[in-house]
Amino acid sequence: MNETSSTRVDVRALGIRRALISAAIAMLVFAISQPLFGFYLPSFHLEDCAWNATDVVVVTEGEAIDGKVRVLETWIGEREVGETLSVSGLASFAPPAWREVWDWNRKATGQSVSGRRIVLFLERTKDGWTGAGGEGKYGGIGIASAWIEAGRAYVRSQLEPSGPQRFHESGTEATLRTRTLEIRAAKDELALATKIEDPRERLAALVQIVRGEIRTAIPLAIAEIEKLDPDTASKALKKLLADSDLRSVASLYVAQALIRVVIHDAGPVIVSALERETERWQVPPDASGKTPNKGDADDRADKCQYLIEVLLKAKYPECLPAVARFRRTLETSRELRPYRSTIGYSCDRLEEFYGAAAARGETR
Amino acid sequence: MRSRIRWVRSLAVIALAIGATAGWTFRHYVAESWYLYRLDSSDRSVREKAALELGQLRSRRAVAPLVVLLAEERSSHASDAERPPASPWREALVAIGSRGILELLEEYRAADDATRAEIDALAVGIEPRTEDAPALVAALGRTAESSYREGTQSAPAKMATFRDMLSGLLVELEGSAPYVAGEVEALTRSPDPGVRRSAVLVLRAILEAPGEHLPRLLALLRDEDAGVRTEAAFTLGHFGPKLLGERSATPRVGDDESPVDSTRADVTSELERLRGDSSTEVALTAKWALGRIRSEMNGARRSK
Repeated sequence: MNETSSTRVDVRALGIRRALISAAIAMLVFAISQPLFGFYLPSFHLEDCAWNATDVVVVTEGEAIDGKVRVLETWIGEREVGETLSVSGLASFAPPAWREVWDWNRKATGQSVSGRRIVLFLERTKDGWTGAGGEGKYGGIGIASAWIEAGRAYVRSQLEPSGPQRFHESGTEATLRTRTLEIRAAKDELALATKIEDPRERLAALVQIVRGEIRTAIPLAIAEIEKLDPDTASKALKKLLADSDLRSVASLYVAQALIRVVIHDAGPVIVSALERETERWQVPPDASGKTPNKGDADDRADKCQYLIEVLLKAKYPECLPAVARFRRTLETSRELRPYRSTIGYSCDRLEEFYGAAAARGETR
Repeated sequence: MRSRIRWVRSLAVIALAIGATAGWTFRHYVAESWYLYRLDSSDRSVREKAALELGQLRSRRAVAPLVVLLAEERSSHASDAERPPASPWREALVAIGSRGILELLEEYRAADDATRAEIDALAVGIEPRTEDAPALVAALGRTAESSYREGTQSAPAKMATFRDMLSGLLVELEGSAPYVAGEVEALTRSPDPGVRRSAVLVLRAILEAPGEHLPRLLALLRDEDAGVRTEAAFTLGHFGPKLLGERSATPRVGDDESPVDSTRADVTSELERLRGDSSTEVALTAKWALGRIRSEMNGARRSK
C-alpha cells in the first residue's frame, strides 16, 4: 500500500518536473524567437516623407486635437496660410498618453507634445489628406509628421522590435525644413535631368545626382543612366565607381547597375574599388592620430561590405585574392574592429560561394 | 474719555482697513513668500506641495530654487534610469513657463552642463503666453554672445539651445503678439548672428505680412551670416503672396513701375543673386523662395 502511494508520488513529481521542463523550454524558445519574429513598425523617415509628399505644411491644431488644422507655413505645395485642412488621423492623438515624449534611452520624460505646431507631410487622395510616410496600414499621419515644441522636432519611431511607436526628439524645425527643401530640390533636379534631350548633358546631370546625398534619388538616377546606350552607361558607371569619394549607398547601386549593364567587365572594376578602399584602411595614423577614414569610418566600412556582397552577383571568382587582402586588413586594423564581425560574415559568404562554385566546376 | 475711545476705535478701523487692503493687494506676494519658505523644508512632501503651489502662482522668484532642486534630484540618482519620469520641480518650472523665462535664462547661464540639459528638457512642456512675449524677446536679446561674456561663465555656443527654445516659444505665439515686432526687428541688428537668425524666424511667425519690416528683411538677404540669409530668404518666400500687396522697399523717383512691381523686382533680383550664394543652404532656400513668389505671381496674373 505504502509502496503504491510512494510510486504515485514519484509519478506525480515526475509529471510536475516534466511540465516545468516543458514550460522552461517553451519560454526559452519564445525568448529566442522574439528577436527573430519581433515585428517592426515603420518609423518617421524624413526622406521617404519629403520625397512622396504632395504638400508639406506647418499647421496648428488649435485648442483641441481633432484633426482640423490651420496652415501656418507652406514648405511644399500650394496650400495657403490660414487655410483649414482636415487630417483625420491626427484626431487619434487627442489623449495625452498618445503624445508622450520618450528619450532615446527608452524612458518617459513625463511630457507630451502639444500640437500647437506640427509639420505635416501630406499626400492628396480622392478622400482627402493622408500621411506621405509608410505604406497601407503601416502608414498614417503618425509617421508622416513632426511635432514642434519650442523649435525642436519630435517624431514617432519604434526603438525595438514589437515595441510601441513613440515620440522622440529629432533635431530642430530649421534643420527639418532645410533637409526637406534639399530632398525636394533633388526630386526636381531628377525630373529636369530626365527631360534633357542631349544625352551627354543628361548624363552629366544624372551623375551629379548620384554623387549627391539624397538616397532616394540615387537608384532613380542610375536607372536613367542605364537607359542610355550600353557603352556610354558602362563608361559612366565605371568612372563613378572609380571615384573614391562616392558614398557607400551610391557605390552599391552603381556596382549593381554595372553588373546589369556589363556583367563580364564589372568584376575587375568592383575589385579595383575594393582594393582602393583596402589601401585607405592600411594607412597608419599620422602624428595627430588622423587616418584617411577618420570621421567617415561608418560609411567607408559600409562601402567595403556592399562591394564584397555585390561581388556575389558579379560571377568573378578572381576577386578572392583581393577579398583575402581586405580580410587581413579587417583583422589587423584597429579602426575596422567595430565592423569585424559583420564584414567578416560577408567575406565568409563570398569565399564559401566561390569555393563551392569552383568545387562544382562552375566558371564564368 | 469717550472721545478718546472713539478716536482709538476709528484708528483701529482705519488700521484694519489698511491691513485688509494691503493683505488683499499683496496676497500673492505673501502666499508666494510662504511657499518659498516651505520650499526649504526638510520634508520632501512639504517641498513638493510648495512647488506645486508656486507653479500655479507662476512665481518668478521660485525659478532659482526650483532649478537647484532639479539639479539636486539629478545628482542624487546614480543614473537617469533610476529617476522617476515625473519630477515636481520640473512640473512647477513648466507651469511657471514663459513668465519666468528671464530668471530661467540667468540660471541657465550659471548652470553646469548637466543642469543645462535639465533646463533644455523643459522645452517640450512650456506653453508660451501672449502676455509674456516682451520677456521672451528680452531673453532672446540677452542670449547674444556679447551680453553673455559679461556673465561669470562664458560659453556662448551653449546658449544656442536655449536661444532656439526662446525663438520656438515666440514662434508658437504666431499672430497673437505682433506688438513686439518692433523689438524683434531691433534684434535683427544684434551683433550676434544667432540672435539675428532667431529674430528673423520670429518676425516671420508673428507678422501676417512683412509691412514696414520689408526693407529690413531685404537688407538681411545681404547679412554676413549664411543662417541669417537663409531665414530672410525663407521669410520672403513665405510672404510671397503678401508681397504682391506691399509698397516698394526702395521707391525710385521717376520710375514707371508701380510700387508693387518694383517691390517684386527688388525681392526677386536679390533672391536671384542669392541663388549663386556660396552656402548651399542659402542658394537652395533662395531658389525655393523664388519659386513660391513666381508661382503666386503667375496665379495672380491668371486670375486677372
